[in-house]
Amino acid sequence: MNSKHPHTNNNNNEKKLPLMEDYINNNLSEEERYRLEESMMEDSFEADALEGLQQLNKKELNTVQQNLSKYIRNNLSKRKKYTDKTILFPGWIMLAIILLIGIVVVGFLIISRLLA
Amino acid sequence: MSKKISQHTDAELLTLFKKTTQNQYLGELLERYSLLVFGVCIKYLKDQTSAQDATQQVFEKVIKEVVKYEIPYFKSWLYSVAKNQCLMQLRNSSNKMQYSAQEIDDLELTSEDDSGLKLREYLLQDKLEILHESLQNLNKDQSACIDLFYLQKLSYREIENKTGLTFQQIKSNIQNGKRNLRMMLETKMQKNEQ
Repeated sequence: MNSKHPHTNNNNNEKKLPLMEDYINNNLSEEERYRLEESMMEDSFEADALEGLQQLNKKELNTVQQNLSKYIRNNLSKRKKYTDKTILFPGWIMLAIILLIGIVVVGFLIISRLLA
Repeated sequence: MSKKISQHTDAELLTLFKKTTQNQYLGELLERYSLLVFGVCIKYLKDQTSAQDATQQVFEKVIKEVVKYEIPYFKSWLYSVAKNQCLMQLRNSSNKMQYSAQEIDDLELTSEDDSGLKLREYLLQDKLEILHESLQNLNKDQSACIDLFYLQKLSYREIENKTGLTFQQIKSNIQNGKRNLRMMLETKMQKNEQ
């Protein structure tokens, strides 16, 4: 039998996900279904996930995937801003620098007036 | 020539992220497994909104903790983080009565029988006789499901049609049957060796 998914036995997760979607949407032949189920036997993570994802239809699956991608992007960009801030300008260092500059300027003005 | 980000293995992405702290590497890793994590969460939490919350909590944990630990195998580590998150949510849930003790037990097992019986080894190693003998000692449903799945190579859907069992029942019969079979086969192999 010709398989529409020649990579059914491949362990690469990236290739398995579309296959899992096809499995859920009943787009696989019995032979392809069997191969995926057999490979799931050796991977509890994928087996659990497939069991859970079967509760969703195609539309819900797409929505969930989009929401999660959006969440990952937003959360990581927040992390970047935070990291950049903490590395370059942590709040307490900024405050200390301003105070120090203030003390030096005031000190300089007082001393220069006294000397004058 | 440098690889596209999607062509990197998990271990490479993790190393690159720790080395450069560039979010694109961690982003690719999380995207790669987002649907699997969600699938695990919905399996145990049985509700889309809770599962989505749990998945987001898992991502937050990963973002915070991934740099703190040496992670030899990201996928397994992520699976543990996801299961622990579900377990924590189930324990804190006011509706926990709706979950059976068996489901919580399943979740508490950090690893199922991945390391266990590799039935295919028995099929390949001319140990079919021992396998057939042990199959007779399993209960009727377990024996039927293992025979149909491993020996006759039928998909779950075909087994459903043949036996009238549900997907979940077939899965559990295969898992429990494998566990029982492993114990029987190990005892027999030990006896043969002596």
